[in-house]
Amino acid sequence: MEEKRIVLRTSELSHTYSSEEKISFPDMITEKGKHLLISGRSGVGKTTLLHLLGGLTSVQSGRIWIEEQEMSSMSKSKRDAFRGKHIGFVFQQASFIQSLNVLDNVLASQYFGAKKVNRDFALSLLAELGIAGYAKKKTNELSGGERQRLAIARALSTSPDVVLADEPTSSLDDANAMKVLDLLVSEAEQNGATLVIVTHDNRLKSKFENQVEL
Amino acid sequence: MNLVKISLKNITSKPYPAILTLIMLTMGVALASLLVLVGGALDEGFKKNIRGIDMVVGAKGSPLQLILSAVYQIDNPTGNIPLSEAEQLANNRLVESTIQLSYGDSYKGRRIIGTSHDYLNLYDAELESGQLYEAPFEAVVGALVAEENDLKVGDQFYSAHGADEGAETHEDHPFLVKGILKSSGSVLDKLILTKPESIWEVHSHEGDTAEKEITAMLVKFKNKMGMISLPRMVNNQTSMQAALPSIEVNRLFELFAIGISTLRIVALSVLLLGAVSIFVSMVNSLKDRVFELALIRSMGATRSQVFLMILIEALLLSLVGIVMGLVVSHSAILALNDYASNQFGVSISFLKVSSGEWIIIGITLLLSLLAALLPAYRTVKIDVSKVLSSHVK
Repeated sequence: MEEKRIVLRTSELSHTYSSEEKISFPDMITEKGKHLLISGRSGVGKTTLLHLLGGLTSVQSGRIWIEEQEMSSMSKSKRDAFRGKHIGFVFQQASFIQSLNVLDNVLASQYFGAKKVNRDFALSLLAELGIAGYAKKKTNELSGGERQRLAIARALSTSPDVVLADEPTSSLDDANAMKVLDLLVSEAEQNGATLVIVTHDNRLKSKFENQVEL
Repeated sequence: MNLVKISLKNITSKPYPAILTLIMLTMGVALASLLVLVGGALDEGFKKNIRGIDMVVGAKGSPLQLILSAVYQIDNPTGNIPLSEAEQLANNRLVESTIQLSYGDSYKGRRIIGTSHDYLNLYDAELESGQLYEAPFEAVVGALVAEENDLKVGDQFYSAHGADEGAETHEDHPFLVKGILKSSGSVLDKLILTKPESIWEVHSHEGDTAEKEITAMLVKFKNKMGMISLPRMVNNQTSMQAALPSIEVNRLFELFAIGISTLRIVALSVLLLGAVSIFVSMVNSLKDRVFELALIRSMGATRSQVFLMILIEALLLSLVGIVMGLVVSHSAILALNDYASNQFGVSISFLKVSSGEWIIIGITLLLSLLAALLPAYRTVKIDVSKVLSSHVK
């Protein structure tokens, strides 16, 4: 692993909504392992930015590189494949495939993302996050904190380079929020992933030195 | 983990709409396959029994009745014809061979027929035990008759007058069982065969014996010319009636045709309902699943994977419906087989899937795929970003 590898970079990124409201985002650059916190009030386009970075929304103007590959110029289907391989998501409201149990949700993420299922790795992630005992349970039997931990396990199950987290803590109380954040950071580091967190949660600000304010 | 497993879990985690769909598919497939099986077996059974018989002559009356009585042994005979007249026809130069049949008696409701060994050869009969009859009052018994009455070689029985069970018995002339036939699926299974003399001697004391009579004669022509001229000749110039089995069987099938085509429409409608049910339940569940599908897309699933997943769900449903439908129809046939072989000499294999059924399978799969196509196409149009961000409360 070389030092100071650029994991994520944006240039002159902006987005115009159908209401013709236009948001311009500051340029960002992140090295491997330097987690990035993007903060801002609600309504300043945090989720839009996250979806742009994750390739869920097509880039209208500006450019995005992930792992030195320009995602903003990829075709839709290439972007789907690229996203599965390189990017993991943790959403504010942890949601899962309801018909599958806890372990199968992680396996499904590997199947769709990495195109390769690694059951042992999935189980070890669940164990590290303290939810191995729930592997065969339905996801709706989990508590809020447990669901967020499962979401982290799922995001990391494909060994992504970047984990994009959208308000991962804002629906949790202080104790749970800090626990989940610590787990997110330590698990990301252990698995070689760089975190990009967008949040309006001020509790997180003191934890990251690499920050962007929208 | 793969698409099929996820699709399967999607179905089984919400079983109720799936069960409704399955019931309709099962009923449709079962009905359609029953139609094909029964229709095919009737066709085959009826054709098997007219093999080698070009024309039947008997007493005047309904030609269909003559065929049903003389070939299929279902209906009552139309009456008797003079042996002399029948023999005169047998000597016609257009006739290749004939088999005379004499009815009159029965045993426990099963017909005793006086005829030559040619009748046995016509159906390639084989002996299970014993030997063929050589003298009057020796009998060869069909497989079904032997089983029903527990008859063995060497047993004796008394015939009853007429074809009805419990009619007056001829106590003075016992029949001796000389042989038992192997089951062949032909009419022989439910007959008792003996020399024609047995029939004549049983009835000799009952009335005028001046002229010997037989009940019917099966005729095979030398060539096509016989088909053209002989039936007309018999009908116009003799006291007998000639009927062509192929024509009468076709007439019979035309009588069935209306019923069969009505059932066909019913079966197809039920199948269509099954497909509509797939469509409705998928459109319904998609509303709840849009978010989940967007989630799967965020994990890196391509549009075509999600599209395929929906199609696989429909295919799985219809496959299960097809298997269940075929099991139902084949079980029904299994239950009906005894009755059918009893009545018509028709039997159907439980495990064999006929070519007609493969067509039904194809139609069902196609209908299900078509039903899933529109819902599946709608998943392609999902705006992942919009769905995911709208979910946040």
